[in-house]
Amino acid sequence: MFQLHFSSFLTRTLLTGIGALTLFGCDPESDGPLTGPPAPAGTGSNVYVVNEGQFNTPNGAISLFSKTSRAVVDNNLFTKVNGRILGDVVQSMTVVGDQGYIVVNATGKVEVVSMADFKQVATIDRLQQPRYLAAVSSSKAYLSEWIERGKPGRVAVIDLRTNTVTKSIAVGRQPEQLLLANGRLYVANSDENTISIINPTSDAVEATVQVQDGPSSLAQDKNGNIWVGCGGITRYDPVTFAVLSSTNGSLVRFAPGSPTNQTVLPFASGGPSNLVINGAKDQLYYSYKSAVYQLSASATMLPATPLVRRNFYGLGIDPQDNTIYGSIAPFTTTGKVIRYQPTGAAIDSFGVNIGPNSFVFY
Amino acid sequence: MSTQRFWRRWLLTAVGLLGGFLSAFPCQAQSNANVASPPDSSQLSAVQLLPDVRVQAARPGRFAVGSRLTTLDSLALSQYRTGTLTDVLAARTPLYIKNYGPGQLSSITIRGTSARHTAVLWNGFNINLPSLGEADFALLPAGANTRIDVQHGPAGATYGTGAVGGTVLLSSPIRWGSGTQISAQLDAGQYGLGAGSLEGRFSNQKVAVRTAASYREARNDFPYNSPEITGLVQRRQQNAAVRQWSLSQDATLRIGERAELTAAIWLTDADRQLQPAIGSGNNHAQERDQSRRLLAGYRHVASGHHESAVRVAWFEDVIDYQNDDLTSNSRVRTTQAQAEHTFTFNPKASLRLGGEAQHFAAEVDGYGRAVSENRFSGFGLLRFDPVPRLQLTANLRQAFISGRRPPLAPTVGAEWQFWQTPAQQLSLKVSASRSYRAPTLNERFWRTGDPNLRPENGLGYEAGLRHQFTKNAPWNLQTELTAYHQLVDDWVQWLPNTQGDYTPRNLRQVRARGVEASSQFTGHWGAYLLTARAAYGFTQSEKVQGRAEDPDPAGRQLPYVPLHSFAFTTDHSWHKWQLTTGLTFTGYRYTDASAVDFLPSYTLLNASLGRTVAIAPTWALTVLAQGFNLTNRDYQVYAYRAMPPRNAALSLRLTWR
Repeated sequence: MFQLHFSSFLTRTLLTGIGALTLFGCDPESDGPLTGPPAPAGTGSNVYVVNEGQFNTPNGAISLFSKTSRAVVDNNLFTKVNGRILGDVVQSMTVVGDQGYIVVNATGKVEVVSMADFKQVATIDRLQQPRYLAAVSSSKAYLSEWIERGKPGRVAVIDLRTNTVTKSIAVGRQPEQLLLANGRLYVANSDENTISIINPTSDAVEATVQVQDGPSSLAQDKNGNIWVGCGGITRYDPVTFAVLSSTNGSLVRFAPGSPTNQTVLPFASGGPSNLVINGAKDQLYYSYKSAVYQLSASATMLPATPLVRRNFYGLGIDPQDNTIYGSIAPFTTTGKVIRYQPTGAAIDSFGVNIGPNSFVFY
Repeated sequence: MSTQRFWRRWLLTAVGLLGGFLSAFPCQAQSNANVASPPDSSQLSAVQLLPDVRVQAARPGRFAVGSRLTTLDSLALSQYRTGTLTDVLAARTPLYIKNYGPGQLSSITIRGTSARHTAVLWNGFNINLPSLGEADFALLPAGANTRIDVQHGPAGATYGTGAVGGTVLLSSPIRWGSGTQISAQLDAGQYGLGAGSLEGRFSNQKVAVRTAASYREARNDFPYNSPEITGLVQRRQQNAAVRQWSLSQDATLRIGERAELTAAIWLTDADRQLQPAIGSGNNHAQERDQSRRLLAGYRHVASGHHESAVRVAWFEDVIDYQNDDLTSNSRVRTTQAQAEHTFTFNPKASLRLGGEAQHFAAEVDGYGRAVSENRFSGFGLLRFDPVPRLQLTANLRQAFISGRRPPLAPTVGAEWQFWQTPAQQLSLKVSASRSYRAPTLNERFWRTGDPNLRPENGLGYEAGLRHQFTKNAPWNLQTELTAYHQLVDDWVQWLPNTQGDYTPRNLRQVRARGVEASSQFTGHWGAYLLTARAAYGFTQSEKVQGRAEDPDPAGRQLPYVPLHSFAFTTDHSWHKWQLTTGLTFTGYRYTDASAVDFLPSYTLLNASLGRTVAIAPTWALTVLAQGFNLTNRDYQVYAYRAMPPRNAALSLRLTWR
């Protein structure tokens, strides 16, 4: 009698166990790796969306949106093609020739991919908080690195043939975007009020020019003028996180030949961001106080009326047709991108990955 | 992201570990589970005046009739005496403990809720960190207490704030008149594991004293596979070393026939490097966690019908965090008192009335100022057994929190043994409960917090069947099946506001429902003794509605809530030999609110084999070999946090009595 019950108990337990392991072992199906080229690249019909991913979590990703089919081809292109994670805080992506350079900030590396099929080409690693990359030729690029909070950053010189760092140039604190204009490299030192000007022939800092507080984005318009988006600087108490000081943002414009002769368009508070320029280089766009504004390259004052009343984490302008791309990034969940006509009328939207911050049109 | 935003998120995330709003990022976790209820959970065992047991404390289940209880007693805990509650609960129950690596931050989740929805009580006092509103189970050594009861489901009336998904009760019940016992253990294992524990107990009929101390350190430099451009590269885990100790001292003194004085101290101290994610940079994060808990109590039985108890406690919780870029320190002191009076009208009915007061004094960097808060609550708990086979409870609690009044929290429960033969009993259990969670100090006082946040509130129901098969034969089988449903409203989530600052908001309603099944078998044949437990949990938890500003989609399984979880453990002993096995299965878990990415399911097998040798009439030596992750499974509990491959440890235990 006991034997009977005991074995029935065991059988039941075993069945439950095996049942559980087989039945519940069914995880959701993952897509297999992509085979073949993801979409025809290089015609300007592809939009690569840089998704930062969650902080301290290496789930950054590149989404690929096809303008032709008006659909997302893939929301985790690098991982899908190469079978491995991209990294923690994917900050930016720059195309040089037919290769893409994806800067992964918190992992401290740049992943190099072939734009034709997004296959991995190389990893440039051992970087310290890299941010943005700009090439001066097909064999040489510069990369801004924060290094460490509160300390001067640097610009790494990268040999694109070997994908190695050949030297480093000390610049100001928290260097952000880089711009090559009129044979000089401009570096926005965002935790200061300066830009560093580097001579790419000697790789030396020729001048450090004072602008306004918090320069982060750079653009050159059709007249050759350089625009600097300055967000202002808010300083927090390192211990209590209380706001110690806060300065207003501004747009700064100067001619490359006379960087100290500046036109300053001031904002009433801090926080303008995402300064981008269109393909014709005659219109600038930026985010400020939960809206997007458009500004002519010849403007002498800031516009009062926004173009789009919406708070975007990232902003992009299609160089082919001035379509506006704005991204919503909740970070707890996947984000989305909304497209607008140049007039500010909404076109459509599509879902991307976590934390979309910028766009590459290729 | 911009520099400003970056640092703001940096601060928030880094401090998120302390700030408790990890849930703003990818958190939330869950599970649910179970093992059979102990037979006494529903028995009216409370205030009795017996010759030997003069003043007997009530079991936690006394006013929790109709709900599910999983108990781990001193026997089960003794195998983990140098481990932590994370190790015990992960190995022996299907509860999901979201763990950032071995010895790292571990948050429990019961019945599809988050760690903030589990109240953790030590001798009746809530020990969740007041700043975070949750406990890190890796900081709670298993040997510090001798009994763990996990009550599943809402029980706000009985246990107060946070008892939404469940409650974990830590205690060390006294066995009067058991003399002196001493045991010491040393462990050594792979990846730099070294641990030791010492426990001494003495009790006669007048005094009971227990001291337990433990130490544990591990380098945790285990190998893991990192996907890189050259393929899978084997790397050694960096920045994951942990070192911790615990000291607990309990003493109870009987004063005459009718009174009892208790004092308890529990000190814990952990110094941890915080394990970075695979594929993330190492920012050399480390954290020091210290808790000091002091408690004193007095109980008096005035007559067979009246019992009064007063308890006071003082806790200090310190969390000091730092990485390459920032430091964040936090210290909260809690001073609290509880008083209750129990009327036993007759053997069938008793009523407990009581109140609780808490004063928090917080010095937390993120608040920017010293903060204090007072909380009060009053409760009434009624137990009524109209006939021996039917037990009923009706409980009520009202809390008051600095200007806010959480909802009145009633609980009703019933257990009816409706079928009985000489060998078998079948009972029906039902309960319904309103639960609440008062906002944590971080949610209220963080620089970007919201002092006016509403308390979350839950309304849950459950029903279950319990079957017990006991024959005169030397074995018995208990099986329990429970189904539950709970809606939690005003669920708080940290979201960026228009300035990009993360701020907590009452955003959504979450529905958790599921099934728990468990079976426990005990038997012995001659010298062979077997206990086997199987427990399974099915948990479905999703947002059902939310406010417009809530970006997370509705109708998707919450992140880190496995739909399925299963645990099967066996304990064998034969003469001087003992063998323990633990098999757990954890189903896939989504890692973000959109339910796209997930961590694959995994099955883990642990086992230990021991032999005891008597080395003197009163001395015995036990040699124990323990193996973990025996199938060498490459798995992750939290996304991108590596876990150790197959590894082993050896223990030597010396006992004297």
